[in-house]
Amino acid sequence: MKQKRLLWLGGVALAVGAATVSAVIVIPADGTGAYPTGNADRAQQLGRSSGLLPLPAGSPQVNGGDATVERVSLDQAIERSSVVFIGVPVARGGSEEVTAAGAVEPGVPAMTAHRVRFEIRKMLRGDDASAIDLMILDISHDFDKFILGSKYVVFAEWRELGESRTPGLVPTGYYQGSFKFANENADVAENPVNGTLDVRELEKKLKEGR
Amino acid sequence: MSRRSIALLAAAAIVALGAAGAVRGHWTGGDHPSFLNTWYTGGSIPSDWSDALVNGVLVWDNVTSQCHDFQRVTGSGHILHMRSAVDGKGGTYAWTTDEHNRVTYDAGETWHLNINVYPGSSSVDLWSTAAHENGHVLHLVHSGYTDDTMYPYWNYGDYYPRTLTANDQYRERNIYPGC
Repeated sequence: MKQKRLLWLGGVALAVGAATVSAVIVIPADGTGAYPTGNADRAQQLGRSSGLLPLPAGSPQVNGGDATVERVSLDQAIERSSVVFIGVPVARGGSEEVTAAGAVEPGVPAMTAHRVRFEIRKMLRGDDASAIDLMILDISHDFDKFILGSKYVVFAEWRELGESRTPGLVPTGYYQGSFKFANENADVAENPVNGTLDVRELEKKLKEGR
Repeated sequence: MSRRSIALLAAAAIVALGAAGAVRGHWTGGDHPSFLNTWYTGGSIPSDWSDALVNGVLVWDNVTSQCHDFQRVTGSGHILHMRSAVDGKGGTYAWTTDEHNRVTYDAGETWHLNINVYPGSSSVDLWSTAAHENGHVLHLVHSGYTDDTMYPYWNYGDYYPRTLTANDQYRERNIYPGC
C-alpha cells in the first residue's frame, strides 16, 4: 500500500514538474497564456459589417523581440490620437509581412505585423464603426498584451509600417496607449505605464476638445 | 525522514527545477560569452554612426569585461546592427530580436550622433539607444525602473540611458553569475 502511495506521489510530482516546464515553453512574457487567435466566426461577421479585410489565417508571431519606444503620456495620447475607442478584442490574425526578407540586409528575415480585431463598444474620437483592426508589429513582447474578451480604452494613430510603408492603425505609444478595465462595468481603466484613467473624465475632455 | 517526506521533497525539487527554467535568457555557463563577442554593422548603417554605436557597446563592455569581450569586426559576425524603416518618426526607436543577434534602428527617426554633446529635444540619442539594445544582446529584458538604461520608454532628447544604473549592473550580474 505504501509503495502504491509513493508511486502515486511520484507520479504527481512528475506531472507537476512537467506541467511547469511545458508552461515555461508556451507562456509568453505577459503571463496571459499562449496567444489565442480568438473567435474567428465573430471576427468574420464583424469584418463583413465593417468592411474590414479578412484576418489572415494562422497564429500571429507575437514574440519577435524587445523594442525601445517613445514615451507617450496620457495627455500626449489624448492630444495626438486620431482614433479613441472603448472596445473588446475578439480575434488575432496571422502575421503579415511589412518588410520583405533580405530587403535591407542580406539574409535578414522578414519583419511582420499582425492584426487584432476589436468589437467597438463606443467610439470616443473618429468615425463611427462597429469593428476596428489594430495593426501590431511583431517586434516586442510589450506590444500585444491584449487579453481577448477583456474591455479596453484604446488611443490609436496611423503609422507607416516597415519598408513597405504599409498603413496601420497602431496604439499610440504601443503598450502605453491601451487601458484595461478591471471588469465590464468599471468606469476606471488602467495602464501599468500611464496609470488610471477615468472614462467619464476622458469623455468630458474629448468633448471639450482638449 | 519518512518515505512520504522524501516523495514530497522530490515533488518540490521538480517544481523548483521547472520554475528555474522560466528565467528567460539565464546563462548556465558554457561558451555563451564567446558566442556574443563579435559585432558588425550592415551596409544600411551610415559611417558617421560609428562613434555612438561603439559607445553603446562600451557601456556594457566596461562592466562585463570578465565575461564579454565585445569585438567589432567587418563583413560578418555574431551580432548585426542595421537601419531599416520600422514605423516612421516617433513610436519605435529600435528593436532587438529574441535571438539577441540583430539590432534594428528605425530609419524614420532623426538620430543624434554626436557623442560630445547632448541631444536636442527633437532627436533620439543613438548612444543611449545602442546602450539599451546591447543590454538585450546580453539577454537583459526590460526594467520597470524609469532611471534604468533598460527601461523601455524615453523621450526625444533624453540621454540618461548612456550610463548604466546600479540596478542595470546588478541585473546583468544576475544573468551571468560568477563574472
